[in-house]
Amino acid sequence: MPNPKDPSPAIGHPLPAGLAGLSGADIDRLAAGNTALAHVVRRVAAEAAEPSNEPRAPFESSIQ
Amino acid sequence: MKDDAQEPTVPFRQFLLKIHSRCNLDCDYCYVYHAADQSWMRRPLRMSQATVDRVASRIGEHGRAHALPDVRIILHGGEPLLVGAQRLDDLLATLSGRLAADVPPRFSVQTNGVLLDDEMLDVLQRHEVRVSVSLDGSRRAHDLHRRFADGRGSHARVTRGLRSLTAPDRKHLFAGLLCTVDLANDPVETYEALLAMAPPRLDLLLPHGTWDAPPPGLEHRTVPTAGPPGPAGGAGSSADGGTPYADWLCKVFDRWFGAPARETGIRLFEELMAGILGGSVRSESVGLAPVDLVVVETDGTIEQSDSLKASYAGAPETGLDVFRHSFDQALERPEFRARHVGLDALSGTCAKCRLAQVCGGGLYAHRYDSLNRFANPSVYCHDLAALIDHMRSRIEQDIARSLRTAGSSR
Repeated sequence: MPNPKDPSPAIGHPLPAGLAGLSGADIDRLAAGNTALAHVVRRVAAEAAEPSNEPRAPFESSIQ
Repeated sequence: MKDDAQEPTVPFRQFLLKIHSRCNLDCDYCYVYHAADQSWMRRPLRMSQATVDRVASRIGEHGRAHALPDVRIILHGGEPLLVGAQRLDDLLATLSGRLAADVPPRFSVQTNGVLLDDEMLDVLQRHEVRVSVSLDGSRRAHDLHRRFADGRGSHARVTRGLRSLTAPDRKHLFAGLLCTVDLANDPVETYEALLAMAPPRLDLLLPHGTWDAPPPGLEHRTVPTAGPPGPAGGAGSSADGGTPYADWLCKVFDRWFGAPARETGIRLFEELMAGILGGSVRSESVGLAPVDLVVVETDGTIEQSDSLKASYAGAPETGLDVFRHSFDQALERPEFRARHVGLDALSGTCAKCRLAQVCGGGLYAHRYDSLNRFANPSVYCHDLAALIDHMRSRIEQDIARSLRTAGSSR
């Protein structure tokens, strides 16, 4: 199973061209400059490495 | 849209319980009281004990049947805290007790924050209920819409409640803030006012609207988009009348994305980013994830997502109730099955769109017009496309910069 910390073998489909080949070390470097992006990149990598049946994000309930 | 009769279904994991059908605020944009559906008028004020008992049995039954590891129970209204602290305590004890053997519940509440006092917070803490609060930004921004019936703004009361919620011993209950976008408010000022409350997560919601009743600022969008939006900067990339919601959201995105460290999570952005990167998008407002949420009204009727009330009168109805029907029977209803088939549920225009996997056609309610019903792109189609293209461009720049740095250091 691919290492979630190293998404390059796992991330699939329509990636921005620049993400292909990104390694775990690259993501660490990315995190140093943009933690908001790194947070999502890590999530996508982890999902790709280990698909789960986790439910959707909690409902953004409403306007009251 | 294809026939979905043979598609497998996804069990419900989120149960939104309307425990009180009235509200102590009178927000002018509220879909419950000021939109097409006025069914609140015929509902009981509160969910009775008999209904709570029955809901608990039905959730337990559903959990057992599908071997669910847990379920999320979202307390909602109206204003759910209007039930009072004692009733809330009893209700949560009933649900916890009756579900213990079948499926562990995880509780949350969506509140306007006005009634978040120590007594209420003690109950919420005792039952480990995560709390989301509706706040629209600064006092001026918030009080534009979120007012008491006598016209007074609610910001002072809400921020007082938030201070109690974010005290050190209760901070872990704070789930986040929910803010409805108003183009009249400055986007960065709004974001920073929300950030001042240190929310773990923000939800930025687009005001409800449809092709029949477009949202503020998009009054000209009365005819569903005929073709997918073109690539950024290319032919067909812009919409007549501009993309004011994309412009607003892009300013917040740039402020949030450019911060030296992640300041909070913004679900709309993070879900779209996940989609742009090729991952799954798990939100009701964007993406293609199957709907796993069902609503139970105060009288025990089983309904679809509440936001459909913005589409037309009766839109969320299923004709089912917890006294006579199981949640499995609800799953079989075509209304729910249509929300389980991903791309196949989208309009012809969306199915051809380069961004379909990311935006997923937008919020279901926002696709409505009386002619095609929900077989349309979102009334926000061009705004969503412009926002996604902007985000993609920023993401590509940052990743390219990271790779260049890596290359130069290797």
